[in-house]
Amino acid sequence: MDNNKIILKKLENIFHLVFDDEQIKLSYETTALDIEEWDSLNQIKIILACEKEFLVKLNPREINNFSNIKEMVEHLNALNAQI
Amino acid sequence: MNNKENLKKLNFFLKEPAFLDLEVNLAMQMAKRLKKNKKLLKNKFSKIKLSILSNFNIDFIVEAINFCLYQRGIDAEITAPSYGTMFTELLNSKSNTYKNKPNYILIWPSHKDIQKYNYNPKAEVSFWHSLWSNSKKNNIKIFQILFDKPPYIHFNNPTNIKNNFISHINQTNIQLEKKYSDEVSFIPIDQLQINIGSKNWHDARMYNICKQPFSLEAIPEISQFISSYLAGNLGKNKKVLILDLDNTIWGGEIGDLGTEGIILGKETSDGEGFTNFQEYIKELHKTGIILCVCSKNDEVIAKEVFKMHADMKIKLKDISCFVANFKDKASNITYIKNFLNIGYDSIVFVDDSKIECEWVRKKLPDVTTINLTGDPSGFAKKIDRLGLFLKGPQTKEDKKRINSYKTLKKIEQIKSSSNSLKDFLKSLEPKLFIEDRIPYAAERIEQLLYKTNQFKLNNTIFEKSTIKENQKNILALRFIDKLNDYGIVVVVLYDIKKEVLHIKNWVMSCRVFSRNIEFAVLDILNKIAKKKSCKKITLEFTKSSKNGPAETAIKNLGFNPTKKTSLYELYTNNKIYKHFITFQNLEKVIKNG
Repeated sequence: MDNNKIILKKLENIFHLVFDDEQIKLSYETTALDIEEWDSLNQIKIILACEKEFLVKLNPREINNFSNIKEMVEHLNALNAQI
Repeated sequence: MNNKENLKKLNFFLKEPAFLDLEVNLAMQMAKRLKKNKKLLKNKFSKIKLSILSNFNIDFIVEAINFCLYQRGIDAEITAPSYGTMFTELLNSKSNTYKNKPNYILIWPSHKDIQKYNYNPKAEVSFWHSLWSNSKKNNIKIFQILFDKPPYIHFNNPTNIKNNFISHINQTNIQLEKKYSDEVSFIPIDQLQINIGSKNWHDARMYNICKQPFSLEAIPEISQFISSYLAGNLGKNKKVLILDLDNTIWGGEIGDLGTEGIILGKETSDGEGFTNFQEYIKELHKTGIILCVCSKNDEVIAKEVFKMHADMKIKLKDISCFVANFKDKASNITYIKNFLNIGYDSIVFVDDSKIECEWVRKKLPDVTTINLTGDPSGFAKKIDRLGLFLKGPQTKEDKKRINSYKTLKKIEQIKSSSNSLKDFLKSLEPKLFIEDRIPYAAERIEQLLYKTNQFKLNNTIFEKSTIKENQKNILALRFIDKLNDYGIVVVVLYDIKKEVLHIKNWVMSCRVFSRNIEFAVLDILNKIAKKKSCKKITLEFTKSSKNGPAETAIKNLGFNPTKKTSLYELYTNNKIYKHFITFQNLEKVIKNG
């Protein structure tokens, strides 16, 4: 499995925790509009959980500008996410 | 995972007393799950409306507080106004906060909200006092968290008082508590700030991202701390600590090692650990917590340690109920529960054995069970951080309560040798003193109305201010016998209209059940009713999951249901009630009432 796929899987687990919903399936095309409760508060929880999981430092302003999950995964990979 | 499994997991975590040790994302997940599924759980908890006011973002912590309060048996509907509106919401009598009609308001300022006034604490205190007037007018109970300290070490210079922010905060906190502890319940945040540590308490990055001053990691511990204070004030503080003996308050098994062989005392590090734990328990006991023993040991051998071991800090006289036998612990805890006449949810049980804890958790899920393992030097803190025993401001009455439970023990011993129960109760020479200094006793009266569950007709309660205003319509009775002064144990709120004496509420402390006091109370009410030419006495009764004893009593007293479902009535009469209780101060109260 290449890094991006592993990161996507771990990101999906984070979403399961933050939204308390095991049914959520993430793909590269997923956007904020696809998940009902994805608001600014949950966004912050996701960012902090990613920092903890992947041992990286994220800039919330940058993250908020991504248009889909693909951009997020690629960004984490570029930061040398620990997986 | 289907919904049934989800609820099972939720219930598991609801029963976990150490919410503060959960990984934060799991803790927040469970908090979210509770919010979604509260209605499905069908628990008949006390429902309250709480409004939390702060100038920083509390959206995350509100969910966690909701969870922690629920763990303590409180179903809270929590509202928080828009970010940054703490002052306007409090000062505007028509704000959404007041329109919402909460029962409780929690004011949560940070050091950033200090007004300073050139470091004049008197002016500072006066400002914060002015924020409470609307709540007081609406009879809303106020909690306020005292001010925290900023993270800098440079502004605490004791020789330069003019530019001393820290000193100003300290003085403001001290003066607030000194002047206004009878109006507002203050929550001291120092120990919490110390336990959390500056890194977590002052998370500048978190504040910049989302205006929450503390880190996400700190949420479980902060919410458990605050919820413990709120729960304690609402009467949900735990009242009893049941102790295992071997490897819990001393090292080793007494049955094997004998009094000389157990590990306790300053000579060894474990011995020191157990000694410190006993000292902590003793301090808890001094604040009013009832201590009991539940041990799998021979009773004589177990008691020997208390009598003979020089390093025992806990004495036999500190133990209200000593149970040592080879029955299962759940049965023994049930025995203790019945002996003390309390609910399972008032009990904390500690044991070093995982199996014993699992058994009790399974059989008695409402008991808070804590498994103490490993190094005994950590035991005290492990229990302390959970905040289970925190309660509202302590009154003289609380100290009397421990003594009256020890007296119950004496009664049990005497009972077995007396010929009949009636003779025995008569021999104690019971008296009821009718309290006429109601304002003096207002705090105790308010406490009884809030905290009583079993003998309580309905949920009508009076705040201290209402108590003072309605003195003439309140009956407060103090119970005294040869063995003890039990303090005020009965409160009746009533009014008289059109020849009817109507009981708005009647509460009686469980420590005086089975003393026939309800007959004496009815006797007094009959006398008042006759003086005021009332033809009947009515009362309002609402059934709850806990007030079975009240329901039984009103039926035994002869109250009959009426066409209105919750209203019961009894025609005044000349009946003589055989309760052997004499009255003191009755004529004075009837004359003036």
